Amino acid sequence: MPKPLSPWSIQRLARLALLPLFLLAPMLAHAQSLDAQDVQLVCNALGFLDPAAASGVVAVVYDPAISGSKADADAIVAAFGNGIAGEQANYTAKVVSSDDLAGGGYVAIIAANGAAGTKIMKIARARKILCATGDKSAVQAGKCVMAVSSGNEVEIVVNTSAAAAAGLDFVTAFRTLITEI
Amino acid sequence: MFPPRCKFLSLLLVGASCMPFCLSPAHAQTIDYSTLEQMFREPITTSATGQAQRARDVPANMVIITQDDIRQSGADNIPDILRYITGIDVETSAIGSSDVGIRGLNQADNPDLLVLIDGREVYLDDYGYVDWGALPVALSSIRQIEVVKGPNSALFGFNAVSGVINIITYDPLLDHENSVTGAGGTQNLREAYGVVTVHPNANSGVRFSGDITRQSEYAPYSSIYTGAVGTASNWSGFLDAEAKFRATNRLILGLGVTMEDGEELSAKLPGAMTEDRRRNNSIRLTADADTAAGAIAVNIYHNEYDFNPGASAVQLVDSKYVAQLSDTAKLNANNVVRIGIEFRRNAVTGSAIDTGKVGYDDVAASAMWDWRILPSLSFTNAFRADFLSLFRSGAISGGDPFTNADYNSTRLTGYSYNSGLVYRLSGNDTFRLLTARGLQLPSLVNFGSDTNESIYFYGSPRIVPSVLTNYELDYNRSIRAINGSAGIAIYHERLVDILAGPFDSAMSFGPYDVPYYVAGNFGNAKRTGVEVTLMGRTGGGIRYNLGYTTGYGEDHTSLEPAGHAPLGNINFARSAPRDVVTGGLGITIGEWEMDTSLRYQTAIQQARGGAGGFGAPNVLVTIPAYVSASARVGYRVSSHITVAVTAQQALSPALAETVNQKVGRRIIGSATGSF
Repeated sequence: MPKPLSPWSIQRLARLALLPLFLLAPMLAHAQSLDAQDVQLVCNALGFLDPAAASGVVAVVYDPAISGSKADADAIVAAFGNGIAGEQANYTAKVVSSDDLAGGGYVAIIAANGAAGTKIMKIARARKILCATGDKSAVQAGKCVMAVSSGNEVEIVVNTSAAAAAGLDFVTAFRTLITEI
Repeated sequence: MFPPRCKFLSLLLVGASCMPFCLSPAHAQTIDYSTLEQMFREPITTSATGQAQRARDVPANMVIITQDDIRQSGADNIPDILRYITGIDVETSAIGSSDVGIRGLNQADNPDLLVLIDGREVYLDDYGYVDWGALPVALSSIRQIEVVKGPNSALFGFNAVSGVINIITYDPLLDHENSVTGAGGTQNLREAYGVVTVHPNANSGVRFSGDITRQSEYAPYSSIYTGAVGTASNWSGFLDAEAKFRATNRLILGLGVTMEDGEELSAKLPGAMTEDRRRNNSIRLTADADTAAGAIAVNIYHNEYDFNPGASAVQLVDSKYVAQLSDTAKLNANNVVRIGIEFRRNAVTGSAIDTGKVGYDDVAASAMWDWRILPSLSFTNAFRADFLSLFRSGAISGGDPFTNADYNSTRLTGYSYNSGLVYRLSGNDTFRLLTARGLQLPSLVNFGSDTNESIYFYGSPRIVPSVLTNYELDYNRSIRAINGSAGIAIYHERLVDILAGPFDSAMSFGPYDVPYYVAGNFGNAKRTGVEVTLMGRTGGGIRYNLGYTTGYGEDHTSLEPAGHAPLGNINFARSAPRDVVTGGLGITIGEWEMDTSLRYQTAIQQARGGAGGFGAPNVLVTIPAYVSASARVGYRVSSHITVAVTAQQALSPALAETVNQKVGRRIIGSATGSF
């Protein structure tokens, strides 16, 4: 009588069967910085807030204590060019140190590399504006509301607790298309 | 006590009056397809579950045909676009008349496929079919054609059996689509169509579209009615106006009006063609709002279809009222629900019903729950229950085996479901395990036909909806190396209580030995199939696709006595090709676009009436295997003007796709101005 396969054997067979798929699967890039497509994503997402964000200046915030953060902020602002049209409004960008963020009348915040944190989330909450970043772990930790990534495939992640704390609400059709955590 | 129509109107008024109270803190919204597609770099759809979803996430086997695909196909009608899609069979019986089937369920006047334009049904309930030549939609006004393969009655209701095709047009409020096309070609084709969008202010938009077409039939045609049918003519025209108005930042209202008129040769049965005259009008009201309780959508419309086949004295007027209310809410990060209620009244009058009126009221409730179990795993379930009451009034012929009381006491209950497990193994691999149950409602003629022309054709209040149950496993893989994807789908479906109209059924004899035919349920069918697809694009502007489908079906019906041809239209197993290969290749070089599509299918067999008309034994006719091809060359003269030449069914002067009219080669030249 043939011996039944052990669970380990079944697992090994399953792995072997799936091996070609894994070999073909490309490595997922993990990038925290935002490129031009990511910036366009953020601007479009502002139009799906309820109410939609008005035209204005987006603060691209860097942390002066973190090496490379300012350069990343400069690159993000450069991606705005002369301005980006969102769904219902137009946005320009300005590089702002996290130390100086409290002073401006911004319509949203984009956190450059390493800048997402409790300091800017506190301001985002107070002003009821969106904080966006390329750092998904920062969003998972509640240090920013939205993470965007437009690499292999587009991914938008929203921390619902952080959004609620900032008084932000997205329209239903947009919410069903994104990942909420 | 309101008369029925007043009752319906009063229901609508009550619904409309409660809208302001339903709409608490909210943000008016329709689906902004343009922006969302730009953001997510893939089509967005609501046709799988009712919620907005990315194409990769839907718990359904879905194909989305974009406006680029439509333009590059060069086709001047939707069936000629669909015939190159894997899993779809198109049978063209005459120049303006085609039947579209999914996964082997096809027949003359196919009743198993539900077609909608922006969620408004264009399925014709009199005989139960779609008149593709009468669709009031200009190809240039279409954003995308969403094809769901497999049942989706849980969302759309009756007749979403073998599949659903939802044609999504540009939004008059959000899109700015303006173009006019003139075309001419063989078969004396003269056609003009266009779409114009006007935005009086930021909160309103009106889109006008229209088409007028005149062409000649392919060639002298054959028919068992050869003595009665005159020279076939084919012409059609429509006007459509859609307006949307942002009433407040909480509410968008819509109004649509459509008028269509035309005449065409069509097949009501294999081998039986009639020259049909029709008028096809509709009016529609919509309201969309995003409230604290979710996205609320109201969809109310009235379709009226006046049908008069010139070959007989039959004349029918089908009148349909539909009111739908739904609420889609994302309860939390992992759960989306949608609930809906619907009322519809559908009735037909005319000589086919004697001097009577036959119809039904249907009340339905539906619910959908999309549960994201893990970030990579979602489980979606949808359920719908329909409660239908038949009614009949007016005279009934003496030989009819049923009375008005038989109709007025008939109640039908039907339920349908869709269930889908979607597992995204990685960013590239998606598995779908699907099952669904769809319902095909008997047509109004099947319910209530009452014609007495020496042979009697009777409908029946005793027939029940046929049920199609589908089981399916799909796998799709995005392949970055080819900037494309590959997929495989394996399905098994079973159709129970096959419906056959009086013209399809077996002859019986009444009390005075008068021959008559009665609609009924006549057996079962099943089919198992595999579909394989591959598509991609290169950096050099080349696009390509390849598809293969194979299927095996069996019919078990009393309509096909052993050793004989089927008695009527029900012949799925032999009339579906065993193997089909489809392919497409295109390239864009500068201002030039060149595309070609091919379809090969193996031989099929269709039954057609024998000499002598109704009652004569049917004969089986073999339609040989064939290759069909189309090609288009387009040149962008300027930023506003594009010219194109298209060859449809290019490989032979005349090709038999059915036992009816052969399909001729067509050469079409067109010029499009966009502004």
